[in-house]
Amino acid sequence: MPVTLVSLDNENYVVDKEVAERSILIKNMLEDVGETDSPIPLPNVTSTVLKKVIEYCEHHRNDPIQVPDETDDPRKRSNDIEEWDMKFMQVDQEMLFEIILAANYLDIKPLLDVGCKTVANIIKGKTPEEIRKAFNIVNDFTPEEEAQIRKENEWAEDR
Amino acid sequence: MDLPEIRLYVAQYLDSAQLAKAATVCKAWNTSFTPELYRKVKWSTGRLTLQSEKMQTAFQGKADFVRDMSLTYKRKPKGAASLDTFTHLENIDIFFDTYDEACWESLRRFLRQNQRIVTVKMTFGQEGDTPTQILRTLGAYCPKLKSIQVWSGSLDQKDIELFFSATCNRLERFSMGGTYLDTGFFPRKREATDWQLPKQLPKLEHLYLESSLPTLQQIALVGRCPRLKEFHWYLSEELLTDKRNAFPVSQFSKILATKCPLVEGLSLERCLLSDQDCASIVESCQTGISKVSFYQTKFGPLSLKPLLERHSNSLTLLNLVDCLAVTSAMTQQILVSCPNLETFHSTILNAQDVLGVGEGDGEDLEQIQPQNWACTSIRVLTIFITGFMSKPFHWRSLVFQQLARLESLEELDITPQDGIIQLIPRKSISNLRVNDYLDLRLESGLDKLSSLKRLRKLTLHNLNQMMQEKDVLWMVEAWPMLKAVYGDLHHSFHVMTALERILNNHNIETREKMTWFDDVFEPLRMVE
Repeated sequence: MPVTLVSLDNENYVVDKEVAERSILIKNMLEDVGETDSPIPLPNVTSTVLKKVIEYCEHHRNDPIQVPDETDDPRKRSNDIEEWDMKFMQVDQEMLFEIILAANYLDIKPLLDVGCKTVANIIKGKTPEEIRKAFNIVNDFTPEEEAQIRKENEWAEDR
Repeated sequence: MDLPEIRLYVAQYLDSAQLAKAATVCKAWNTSFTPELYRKVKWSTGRLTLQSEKMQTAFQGKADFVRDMSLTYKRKPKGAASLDTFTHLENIDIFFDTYDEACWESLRRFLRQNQRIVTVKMTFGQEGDTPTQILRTLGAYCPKLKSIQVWSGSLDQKDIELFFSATCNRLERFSMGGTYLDTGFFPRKREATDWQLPKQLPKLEHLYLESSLPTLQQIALVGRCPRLKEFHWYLSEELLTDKRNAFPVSQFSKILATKCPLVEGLSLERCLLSDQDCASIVESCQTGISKVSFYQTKFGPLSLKPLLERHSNSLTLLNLVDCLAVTSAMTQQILVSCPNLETFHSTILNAQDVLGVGEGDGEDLEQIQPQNWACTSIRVLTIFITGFMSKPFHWRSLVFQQLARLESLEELDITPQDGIIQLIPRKSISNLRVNDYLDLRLESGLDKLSSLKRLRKLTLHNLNQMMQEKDVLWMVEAWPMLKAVYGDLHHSFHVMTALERILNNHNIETREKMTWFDDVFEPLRMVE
């Protein structure tokens, strides 16, 4: 049965129930209301982002549901992104953050993971100055403050 | 462009060095990433290198952020090892490696000052006395404590009783292994004195016991845990308290059946139970248990019947290592009947049973119609596959075909266990290498396994494998996740070393001793 999703800017998207239910938020909504034809409003997501999210859910429609694994390495790896996901995430930074926010709001854990891994990979291997440049962040520390923080955290840098 | 909401998610993918850099970017990032950088720490009260001294001093300055500590207690902490500033810990893993009684009070003080503790794991590395009154200190001062594990060491009865009475309404996990109960001058004397046990432990879900405590008292304890989910009992003969009396199977089964309706995981290991005993215990569990271990028991055909009848669809973990009554046919039966199995440790599997042919049959390829294995979501498989000697060559590739269907497989171990090796005719007793095994060479059909894209670990000890460079290169190419290959790739040491070098050059580890034991029991963990 198809489901209609409505974006913030009132665009309608008809998708398979199976695809829509990749979002735990939508899955729970559908379970609460039961069988329904009425469209589901998603007031936090714009049509450009929703289109992207639906593309992801279509591609991953048959993936097994992730179960949290207690034995997981506490420090997770970010170098295991699938090829398709990697390409999917090649968007400008604004879009990347929009997708992550939407994944968070719609409760699509695997998409949130992939988004955050992509951000982590941008941070990796960069100096603070390079990170600032990459994310267009202004350094609001005085040189003394910055030196102090570096000194405190020095143990971590030269490991 | 930057979002405070996602910084925490991103932090879990960064290591300390990267977190430290991120914390230097700007004030907002500093606020988000500093607590993550200091959340966990490995601490030692022993001699420190300059590097670890620097690290520990830094953590003392940020002690309020520290939630998880893995602590090695070698002597009374002072200076850079001092624990005084830590008061916000939630999870502590202590390895206690000293005799020094001066440390006991210091350890108790450390626990008292951390009243937010939720989980504690304590391992006592030295034989002999262990700190007294530790459990009662935790019970009295840590109102959030939900989980405690104690490995080795000795505890006194009073301490356990006081602990239970203080924590019975909140305790979710209680594990005790390798410990012995100190009952005075003869610590191992086992007069079953009556225990003051709480009437109920309403939240307890995980219980791990072992046989140095009085058996009947332990059974009584099980009966007081109405929410019990996982129950692990290590019942080795040398530790069994009531040697003269048989294990009260019927009493135990009755308690399981009537008092513990939620049990999903059951593990009874190294115990004296007969196959019939195991069967009645399995029968007494409510339908649908998911984790079962009968490691080193007489588990056999009688117990398998109720296990498959009642639990075949729910089983996710089954450990039958060193169960010598488990036959190849039984192993095959499990593989074809349990669709949700994720971890399976078994003994032996003959090619004949995989192919479903009788003795002397199986010459004609057309006539062989193997029953497909149902367990396609299996991730960890331990099984010695044999029975190829003087059989048609195509048998190997038919067995490979079944293995190839297990596309979720991450760990495969085809090592014959010691007990099995003893049953196989060999040239000499000291020769532990087996000649009839699944040959992992391309010429035997190894390439059928190219579907095992998730394979991370392959273990193959005690086999006379004869792999060559091309076979090893094929593995590296075909299995992108491969991280470790343990065992003998070739019976010649010289060739094996060369093959291992190829693997190492591809960042694949080699040559670890058999450690599946560690995975299954989470037993004594040795810290340097």
